[in-house]
Amino acid sequence: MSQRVIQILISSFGKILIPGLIYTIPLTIVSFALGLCIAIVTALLQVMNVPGFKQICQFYVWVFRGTPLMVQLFIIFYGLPSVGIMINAIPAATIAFSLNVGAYASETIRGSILSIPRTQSEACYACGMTRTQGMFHVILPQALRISIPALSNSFIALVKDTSLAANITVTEMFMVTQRLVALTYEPLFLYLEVAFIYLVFCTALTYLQKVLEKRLKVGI
Amino acid sequence: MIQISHLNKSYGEHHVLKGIDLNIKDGETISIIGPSGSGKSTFLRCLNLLEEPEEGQVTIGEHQYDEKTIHKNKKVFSRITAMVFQNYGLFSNKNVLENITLPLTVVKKENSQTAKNTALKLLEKVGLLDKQKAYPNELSGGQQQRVGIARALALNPELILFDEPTSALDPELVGEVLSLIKKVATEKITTIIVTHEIAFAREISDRIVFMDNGYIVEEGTPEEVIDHPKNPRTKQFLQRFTRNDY
Repeated sequence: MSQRVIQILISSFGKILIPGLIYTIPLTIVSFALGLCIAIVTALLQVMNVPGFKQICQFYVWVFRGTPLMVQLFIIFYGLPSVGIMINAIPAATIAFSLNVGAYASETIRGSILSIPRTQSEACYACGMTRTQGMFHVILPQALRISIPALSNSFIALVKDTSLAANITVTEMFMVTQRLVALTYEPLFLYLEVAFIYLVFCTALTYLQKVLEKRLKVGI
Repeated sequence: MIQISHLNKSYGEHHVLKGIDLNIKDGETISIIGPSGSGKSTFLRCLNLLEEPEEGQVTIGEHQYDEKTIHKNKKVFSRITAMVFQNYGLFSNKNVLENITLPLTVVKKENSQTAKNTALKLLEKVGLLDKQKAYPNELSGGQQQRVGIARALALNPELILFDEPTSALDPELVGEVLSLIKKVATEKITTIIVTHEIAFAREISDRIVFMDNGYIVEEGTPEEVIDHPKNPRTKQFLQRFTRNDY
């Protein structure tokens, strides 16, 4: 590695990291939080068999799992303006990521709810609770704990998927790297550098997942 | 007063309950015995509507359901009864204290201090005051079942249903649970117990019901049913238990 490449890597590190801290991480966290809310509601509406809503949820999951995230981003950012709906790049990315991760996570949570032993809901009923009370006090809390490893998968996948936002003009880490490559003609080292930063982010998040799992392990 | 008449229940082709009739006086302790698959547990679960019978009528106090009014009666019947499960059925995300207070605050809308006081009193009664912060998976089977019994008592139901409360326990843990149930049975609360513990049933019950193949074959006092059974099927069933068992 020449002196010049090392120079470039050092000077570009901050330039890549900063958009990571101001775009990639907030975009991931906000989208995931929204996606998780969508997922819980979607899973509950399906498991509780709310008439009408169940079909809507199934349709939503079907569409968002069955189409590429990139296409979803393009439809929301480039497509919707032609029917008069203009959404800025960052909100558009947030919407696409939330809906996408929500579809996957809803199936994770739905599966966990269904895996809770039937005795638990029978005990809720035998104690006089309604289905909704049992769901919120007993079944859902247990299901969410079981879901943590699988949800962490979705979360880490989302960290990396935010790089797709570069395609709809969000200047996150990957877009900045692409620009630096165009200036310096050092694709290999710069892309390795951004890969390394993604890896650091994901490692930190995996560590957080472990802590969370340990904390929530009580009773199961 | 509990009146059960003409209870019928099938799972597909399999006819599990074939017209069960039984009357129970307030405060009575009834044990249901019989071979596996005879419909004992299904019968019990029809009384709090965990299972829905196809036909029949059940009256508990002033509440009544028949096959046409099951749905609108589920809430009432789940609230006037309490059940102790074979595999304990404790809420695994709640600690011992919360297992008892949760139904009180959520179902009975008691404030949390009142619920806590009730729970502590019952935990003292079942001898588990020191385990109030433990989670179910940190307790032995016997301890879990004692919490299950405390939870059922906390609900102050008109009828307590015990569904094979000692069948999942290690033999050395059966004693502690049976002696607690015995204590409960002497109180004025109406109790129905499905059990394989013949000696225990004989000791604590006002009446024994022997079920076989979906029918009540024989019922009467423990002396009548266990010591002097009339029906050949009862005799055959009891022969499997040597005299030393009870």
